[in-house]
Amino acid sequence: MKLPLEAINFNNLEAGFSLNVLSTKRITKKVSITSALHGSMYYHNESYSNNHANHESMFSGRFGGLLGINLHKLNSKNKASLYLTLNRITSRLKSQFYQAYGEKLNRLAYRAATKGNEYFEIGMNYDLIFKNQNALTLELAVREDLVLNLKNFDDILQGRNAEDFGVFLGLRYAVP
Amino acid sequence: MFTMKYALLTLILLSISKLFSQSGQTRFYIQLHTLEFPHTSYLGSESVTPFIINQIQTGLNTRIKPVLSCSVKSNSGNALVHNTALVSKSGGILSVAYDAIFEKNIVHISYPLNTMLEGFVEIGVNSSSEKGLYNPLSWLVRDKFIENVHSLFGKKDIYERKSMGYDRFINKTINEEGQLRTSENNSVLSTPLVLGCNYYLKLKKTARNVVNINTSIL
Repeated sequence: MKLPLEAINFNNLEAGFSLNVLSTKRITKKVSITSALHGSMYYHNESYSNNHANHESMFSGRFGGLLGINLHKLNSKNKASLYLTLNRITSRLKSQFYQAYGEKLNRLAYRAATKGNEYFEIGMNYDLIFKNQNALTLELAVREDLVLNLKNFDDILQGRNAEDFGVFLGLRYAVP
Repeated sequence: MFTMKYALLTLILLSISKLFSQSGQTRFYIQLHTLEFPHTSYLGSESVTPFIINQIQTGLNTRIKPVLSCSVKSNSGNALVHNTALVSKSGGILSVAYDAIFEKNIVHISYPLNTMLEGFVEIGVNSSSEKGLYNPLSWLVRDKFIENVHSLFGKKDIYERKSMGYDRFINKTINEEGQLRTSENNSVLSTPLVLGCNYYLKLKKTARNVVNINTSIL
């Protein structure tokens, strides 16, 4: 049997490590609150890059936090949850090596390329628990970019990232 | 008459004892449900931009124990980066231009190896298109919808989408050596395969609170 090994490109090898700290606290019989922090680092092989730029870091990172409110009934294990996340993903392009000339939109493009992506996310999650304890989860979320610059409020509202607006749709079936 | 009084007293005592036992059952019933901890584990979305679409990412993992699961996750996002030359200090020019919907679709399968360790495999399809391909919610990230929302907040065409025309497709990079990297509309950019494991460390679990640290290597 011949395996199509040429289709596998080992130049693209990447590795990552992530750490999540989370806590859920019951507030009332029907309400609990989940909070979480996330940090991850990734190593990218130097021989390959998405943009083939000369000044790229071999490492990138992602940092985020989540706050969720979980609602549940006493006579049912089904749960509904609303959550908010705040995230930052660093860019591999090193901003100190590049400059952009031109109008405002060019400067925004420079920011999008070199400063990574910063965004907040609002989502909802519904857990449907069957009699055999298996769970079906549906999750919907929308992302909007922002700039984490507390010194300039207009900056935050303007947003200057590559992903202007995003959506997430997820479905999971879990057997505990 | 005396016997009647005894019978009545016995009946009342029986009723009271039954009432107490019922309320005891009710308390026990509530306690059982209180012990069922209402933790929610989110699926964890991932951002997609033209600069990171082909890189690995891990979502926020809020699970508290290993489970056997199969997830389908679909992320899509609208990217608009105007044609811009990024001049490097060494004199090279990196030219970027993006106007497209980028999608990252993942099938994630996890398998519990023991009570604290879980292995997982992810197969993804990263694609770019003018209107979105796989996510049924992609209409939310199309140019026209976004600009209509911007208009509602009094910001008309701030990124010049309308003046340049809606639903264009540009995905182009020219690197500092002059090599062009581009893709056609509705094309798959890459199909990443990710292997990894999650380690779940429970720091505290009571009837009211749970604290966990999850680590992943991939």
